[in-house]
Amino acid sequence: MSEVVLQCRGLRHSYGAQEVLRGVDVEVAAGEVVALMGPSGSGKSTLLHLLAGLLRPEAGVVELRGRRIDHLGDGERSRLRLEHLGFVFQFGDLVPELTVVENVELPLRLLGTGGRPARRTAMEMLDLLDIAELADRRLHEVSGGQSQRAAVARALVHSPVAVLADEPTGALDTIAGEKVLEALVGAARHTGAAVVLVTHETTVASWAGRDIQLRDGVVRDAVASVGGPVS
Amino acid sequence: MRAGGRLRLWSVTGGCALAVAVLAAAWAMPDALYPVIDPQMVDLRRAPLVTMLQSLTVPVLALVLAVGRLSSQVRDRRLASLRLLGVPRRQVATVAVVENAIPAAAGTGVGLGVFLALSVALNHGLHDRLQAPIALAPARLAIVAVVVTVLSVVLALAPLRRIGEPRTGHTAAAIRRPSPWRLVPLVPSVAAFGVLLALPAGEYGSLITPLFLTGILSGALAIALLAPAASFGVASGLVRSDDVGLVLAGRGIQTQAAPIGRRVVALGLAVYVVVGGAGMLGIFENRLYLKAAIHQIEVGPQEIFLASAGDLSPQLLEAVAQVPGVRAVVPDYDIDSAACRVSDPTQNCPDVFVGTCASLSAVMVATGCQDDQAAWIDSDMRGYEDYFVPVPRTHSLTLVDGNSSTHVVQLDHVITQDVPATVSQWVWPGGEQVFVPLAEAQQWGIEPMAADVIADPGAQVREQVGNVAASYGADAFNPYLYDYQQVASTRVAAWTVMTIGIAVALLTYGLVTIDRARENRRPRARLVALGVPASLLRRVDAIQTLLPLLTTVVLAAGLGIAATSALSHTAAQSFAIAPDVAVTLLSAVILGAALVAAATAPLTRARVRASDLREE
Repeated sequence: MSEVVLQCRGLRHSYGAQEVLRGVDVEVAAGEVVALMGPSGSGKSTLLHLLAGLLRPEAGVVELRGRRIDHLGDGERSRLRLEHLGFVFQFGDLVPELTVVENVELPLRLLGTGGRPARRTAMEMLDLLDIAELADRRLHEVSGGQSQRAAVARALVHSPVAVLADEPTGALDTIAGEKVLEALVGAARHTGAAVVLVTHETTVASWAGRDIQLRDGVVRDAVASVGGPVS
Repeated sequence: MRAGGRLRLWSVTGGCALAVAVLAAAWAMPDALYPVIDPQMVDLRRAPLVTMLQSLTVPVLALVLAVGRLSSQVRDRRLASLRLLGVPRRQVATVAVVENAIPAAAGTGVGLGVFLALSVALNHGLHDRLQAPIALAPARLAIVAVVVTVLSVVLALAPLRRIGEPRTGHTAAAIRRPSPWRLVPLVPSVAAFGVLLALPAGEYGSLITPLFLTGILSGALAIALLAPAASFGVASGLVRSDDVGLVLAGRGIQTQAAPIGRRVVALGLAVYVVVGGAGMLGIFENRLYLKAAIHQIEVGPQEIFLASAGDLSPQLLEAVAQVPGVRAVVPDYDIDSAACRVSDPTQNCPDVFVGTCASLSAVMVATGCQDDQAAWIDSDMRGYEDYFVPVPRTHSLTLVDGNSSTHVVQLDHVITQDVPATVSQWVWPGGEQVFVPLAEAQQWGIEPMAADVIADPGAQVREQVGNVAASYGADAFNPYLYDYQQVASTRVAAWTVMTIGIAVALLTYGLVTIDRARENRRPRARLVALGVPASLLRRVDAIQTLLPLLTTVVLAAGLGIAATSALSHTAAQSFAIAPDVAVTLLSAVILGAALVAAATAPLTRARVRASDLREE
């Protein structure tokens, strides 16, 4: 098996009196595409946010490339997220004030890459995703699918070890959604990043090599996907 | 009413309540403090008070405007959704109007109640300071209530302009370059102030009032319209930077120019009003007799006048001279030029000073005095011609004493008054024109009928001199005290009005800041999720707070200074705002805004919640 880049053990988390996760163990290997599935309220997004270090678990351990991150301070977790993870949200969530290419180069610039090299790398990523002609457009000038592909570019531009995608096609029609998934999985394969997809759609999950089924805060099933573009 | 939640509901209600209470009080106070009983005998303090209270309208209306547009993003999107669902434009307008009309009407009712309760309390508590009860006729109360409510309702219709446009929900990211038409009000404002400054100083004509009104009103409009445009312009420089924080901050200002403008416009208008108010107060206090009163009471030396029904006893003068803080006691003799006792004394009636060179030095700075020689006192009165009538010089002068005896003094000698030095000590130059040595006057058998006590400033020395005088059956008073009380009461009124203006503006700023922080929580959570460092976000916040604030304050202060310069010029005075007053006021606004922004910072810096990352 490839190196485990992201994993959690015995993860528990509650919102008030409601216990959302009740001892979850997950491992994600380098280059792997994993779908986190389950009905609404099963804890998929919470698990994703815990894996990303956005939330602190009440109990359990989260490790990124073998380094425990759940006990780190906000600043350190932010830094690790910036260096090693990429994000794709349901609504793209590009920074509305910036152009497409400025959004894509943002992680590089925040990591200290100079203006020209960052722009060059960002343009290469946009080219890979076939949206280079949108580089100088702003959020209100692109479609939802194009915006989501730009978000994929932003998530991968700094060669993270994993991309975390929370319902990345939830706001798109089927065709646009397929294109985004194709771009995400294809580009991740190109950069060697693992992908964790949160979804409740089986068509989306079919892009993953492995499904993790969450139900009532625990992992019910973890199976290798059969069929689908990746398998 | 649910769009924007409770913050918006309470803000519209509270904003309208505050607006009604402040405007009603502003309308009622002049008649309570300085009622016009005889149009020929209007208290001098009424005009500046009325003007300053009227100027409160500007930040108060800015508050109503700002609270009416709170949560505009979510509200505009919601109204646009109704249109997309097929709800007719008229019904959408009805929804928008009702959303604002109910809290606005409730706020107006609360405001009227607050005003009435406040007037009852103040009428009871301040009855000895009020010349008439605080009250406002029902018709005027109705005007205030209707204006505030209607304004709030009209503002509610603002989103309807754009909800028919395509892709309303995505336009938040668009950079809307402010229209050049926003510059238009600046032109008449600057032109009006320019014309006023170009006119001869002190010139009053029929054009003066219209020019002032044009300049001041278009200046206020220019601040309201230019605040976002000026911030946009400065932000254009930031976005060219290679620094990510500067680019994010600059682009944020450019895409959010309108809400950022709404955030700072009330503060800009408050600065404009406050600078103008400080200028008016300065011009009021620069009237020479008031300036002299302020100098006497606050800086010193002060002049305490001693008088009694009969002659003043030497023992009294001696006792007063021993009071701590008394610098000199200058006896005043009942002796005048004979010319002063004819029917038209204006042509040849010099003011005669009887005393020693030492006592003369207590009232003016002069050179050439000799205790054995009567003399003309020569003073260069350029700039004071309106107050002192020159007297033709003669070699001798006939004087008349209280017993109607005449005495002739030879005036071959000249004493020269150092007018600037005297003015620096007393504000006025000394008005005495003839010096008669005490030794010579004593030969005529005259006694002092009164005395000027030259003393340190302060109430304590005045009180002690008064006690000593009373023990000898005499009276002691500072003749400038009444004038100083006029200044003090005007200052209290002016600073109260300015403080209310700044407080209303800071309240507006705080409400809009909280609202913006809530609206920006989600985009900010996305940046945190990406790993954008908190320090970078703090820097972006600081730039987005300070840059529009400082730009607007500079613009407003500039226009306020232009207005004050024109007003000072028309009043034939030098620029009338003291640097310490200007620094105090501007610091209060900038520090107040920074504190409000810092106090609301936790709303944006709170940890990311899962809901922030999921809710649309």
